[in-house]
Amino acid sequence: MGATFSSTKQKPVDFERHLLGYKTAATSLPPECLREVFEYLDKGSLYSSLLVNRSWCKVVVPLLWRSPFRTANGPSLETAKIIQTYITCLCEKSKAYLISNGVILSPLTTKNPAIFDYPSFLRELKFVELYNAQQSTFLRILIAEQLFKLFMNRCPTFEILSLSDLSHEAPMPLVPLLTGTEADTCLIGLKAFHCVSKHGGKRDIFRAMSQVSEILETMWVGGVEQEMEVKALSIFIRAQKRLKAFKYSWDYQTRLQIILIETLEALKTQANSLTTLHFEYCNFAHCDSLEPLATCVNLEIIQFIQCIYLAEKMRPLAKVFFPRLKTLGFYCNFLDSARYWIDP
Amino acid sequence: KVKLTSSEGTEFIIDRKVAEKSVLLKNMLEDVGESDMAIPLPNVTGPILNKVIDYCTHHQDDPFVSQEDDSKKVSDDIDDWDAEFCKVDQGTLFELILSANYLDIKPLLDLTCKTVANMIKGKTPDEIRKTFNIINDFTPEEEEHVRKENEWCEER
Repeated sequence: MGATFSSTKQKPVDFERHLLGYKTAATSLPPECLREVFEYLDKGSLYSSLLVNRSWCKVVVPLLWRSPFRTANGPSLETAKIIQTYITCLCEKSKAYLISNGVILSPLTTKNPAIFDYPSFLRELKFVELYNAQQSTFLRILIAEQLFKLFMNRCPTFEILSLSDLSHEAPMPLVPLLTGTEADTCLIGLKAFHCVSKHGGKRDIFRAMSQVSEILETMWVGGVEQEMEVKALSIFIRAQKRLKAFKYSWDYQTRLQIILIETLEALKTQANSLTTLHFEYCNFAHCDSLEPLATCVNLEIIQFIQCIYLAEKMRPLAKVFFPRLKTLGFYCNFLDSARYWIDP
Repeated sequence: KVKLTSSEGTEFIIDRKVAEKSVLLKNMLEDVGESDMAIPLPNVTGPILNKVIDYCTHHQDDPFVSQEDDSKKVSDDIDDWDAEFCKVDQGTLFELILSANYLDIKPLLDLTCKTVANMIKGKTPDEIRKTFNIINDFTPEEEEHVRKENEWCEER
């Protein structure tokens, strides 16, 4: 059935029709125009449109499955259903592997092949949502691993990948998944990478990512603590060709992100492309000066949110003219750092 | 001034500034330079071209916005003139979409697509089919299958 379904061809738009007195109908809109319309719909209306007819269905499915976990309301019945459909799309070998490890798969996921290649539409993934969708750690690892492999295998290109919010204990061997040959092709065009997390494997994650992703526009990292992680992060930043936004943040309830000049030196390699710098809950005590950032003359937004020991280290920046600067933000309870910018 | 001919051969003479709301025409005019030759638009009928020109004339002073942000698209920001402009029969509305797409007039395409989106919102599949006169070409098994696999989107 899957084959017949996907081979239904969209009729070409016939411009002659209205000359002959036919009315242009909704069915004469080509897929690209339908897509424009559907972009304005919420999940519920998309679901209705999905069931209208075959040609609408084919346009709606990629929209619904672009970032399903984000669209769903947290770990819930919805997430479980999303995962169920993805499991249906697993290859027989993966399904057999899960079953042999004691995972009970619903008969629905093994009986019929899926109508659409759902994993191929995924563009944004927050790994923790996939991971948290299962109750037990055992299932989490098994299923998250198989599905992640599936995504890497089926997605032509990822746009946003988030490895944020994974706990330190999460015993998830992520790196092998990021370094496979499939990852090579689907992460090559990655635009945004987020990793603000306590996860213990950040050094290896940054190393692996710097091998595959070189054209990131946005990098949002945090919880970088050990020296090796800082080094790996520098390598990761330096590997980029046109980084536009860098955000360093952490959660003050645990601790502040310590900033080392090494990271700022690495950012200097992105000086031409960087437009946004964002430091949140950062501690600049161990960073002598913000001087390396003075080369980033295309900056449009610079924000320091709840940062400490910043004050006089900003002096080198106060002398620099940033012609495109639109926002310069200081939000802090700790020190009147802003004074050093205005009045060097 | 720029001359345009619709599919039936009707000639329209408009300001260059108005014509340049269409990226297609703008690029053509840049390539051709000053010329008295009419630009043929075999894909657009006279009445539709008339509407398109109305729109471009009203919006000729709007700044050109390159929309590339990922912000959620909303369809409830249509102003009164635009809403009035879109009070046309469905056939005309869809032709406007096709023409805006062909002539590459992004704000007009956005407006007309928003209008259609608003006609879809909150309706059941059956109500949508009735509204747009669409035939359900799913087999019952297929429909059930699609429903099942996408069940997570169902609002309850």
